[in-house]
Amino acid sequence: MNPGLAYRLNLMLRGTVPALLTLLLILLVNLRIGLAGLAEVAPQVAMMSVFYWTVHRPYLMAAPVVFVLGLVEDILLGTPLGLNALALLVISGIAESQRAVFVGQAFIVNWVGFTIICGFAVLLTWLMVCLYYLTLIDPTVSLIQLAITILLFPLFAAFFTQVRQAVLRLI
Amino acid sequence: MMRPTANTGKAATVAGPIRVFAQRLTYILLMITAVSLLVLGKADLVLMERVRTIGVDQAAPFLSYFSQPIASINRGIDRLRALGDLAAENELLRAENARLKQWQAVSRRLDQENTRLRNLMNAKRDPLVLPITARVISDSGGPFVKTLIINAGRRDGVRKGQAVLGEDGLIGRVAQVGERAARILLLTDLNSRVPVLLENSRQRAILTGDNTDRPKIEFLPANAQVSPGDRVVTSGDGGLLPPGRPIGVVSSVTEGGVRLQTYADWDRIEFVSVLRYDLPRLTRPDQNPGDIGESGLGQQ
Repeated sequence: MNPGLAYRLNLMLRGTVPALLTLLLILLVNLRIGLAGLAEVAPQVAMMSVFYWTVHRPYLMAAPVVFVLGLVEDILLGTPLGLNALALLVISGIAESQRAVFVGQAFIVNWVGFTIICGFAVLLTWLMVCLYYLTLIDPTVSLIQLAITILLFPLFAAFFTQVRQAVLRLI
Repeated sequence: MMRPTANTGKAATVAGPIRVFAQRLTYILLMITAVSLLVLGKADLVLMERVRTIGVDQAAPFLSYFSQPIASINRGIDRLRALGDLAAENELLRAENARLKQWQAVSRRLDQENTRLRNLMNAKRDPLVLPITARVISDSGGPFVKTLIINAGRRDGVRKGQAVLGEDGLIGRVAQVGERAARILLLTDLNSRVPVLLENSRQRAILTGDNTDRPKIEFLPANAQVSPGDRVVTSGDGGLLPPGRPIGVVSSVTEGGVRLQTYADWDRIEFVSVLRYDLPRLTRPDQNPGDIGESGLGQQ
């Protein structure tokens, strides 16, 4: 029996959820969140999302998707074009190659893995920006942002898991 | 749900490695693209500028739509916070109002006197400055860039290089202009350079952002008299910014340099004024259709 058109369309639409969700999060974080100083250290939602979906649904978070998401972030943030694209690609690359370590493991393993990979990506970004502008940029804000991102990861991961079980159980 | 599909047969043993190889290749190509974008961006290509501008323009309606409720929520929170000390604040405002009224009288007199003296001396007037008020729809923040996106663009008369003022003083300049949105480079950004003037000593200097909340004041003469609390205003050098607009006060003077505390509160910039500053014979009206040269308002 061939699956009907509606069924395939349904699967396809569900398949776009991780990418669209990431895009939405990027846009939301970009909005002015007026709480004092929060905008400056808003968590790196794209990094969390790309890591999570690369581990749990790698075929729905393919490299071209990751690249485009990074470019969108670069355009909105005004960072040098390609900077976040590169950072996200690094995260997705490492996560993809180490998938076996994370899938089906306790959450703490995922969290530690994310901490290491995200830390590496942030360090890389910081180095790239310093090179780009040829100055030493104060890394404090980057570090605070990294800490907030890592602390908030369980929350976002739980949310992504809810989404995954609701929409992507069969995909 | 497990259903035998074509991928489990002999085809998969051949197609599998090819697919993995293709994925690897895509990944590597994308990495190379990202790095080349960075290199090209460093070269300041016009094309890259276009891509960014179009991107921001496309995102503007979305950002504008969603930033409104967030702004309202923030206002509500602020109001709740303010409720606590209403009485005290009222008292303060009353005192300030009385003081400001005196100032108003003084400044009216000075303004009239100034006009009369200018007329007597036949002095050249500064061009009229018209503000365009716009709402901030996105605050990128982040550790590396300090920019804002506003919901006014080329069709509203916003042009690259125009000065942008917050409630309390200059906050930056227009860096990129799309059709309906524009990006503001804040004074605190690494790439920001603004010619300034120390109001008391009339020393000229350059205000240099370094991604911290307190930009540096550079290129002051070695014997310059500067002390914390000195007011700093735009100097108008270069003809891009109107002179005499307040920026902030000198916050610290050390061996390492002079730093400035801006009047603008970086955490709550909701509306900004973009100044259409049109220097006669420096900007051409036909290229600047939004400017006052065209509108005829500046003619006397």
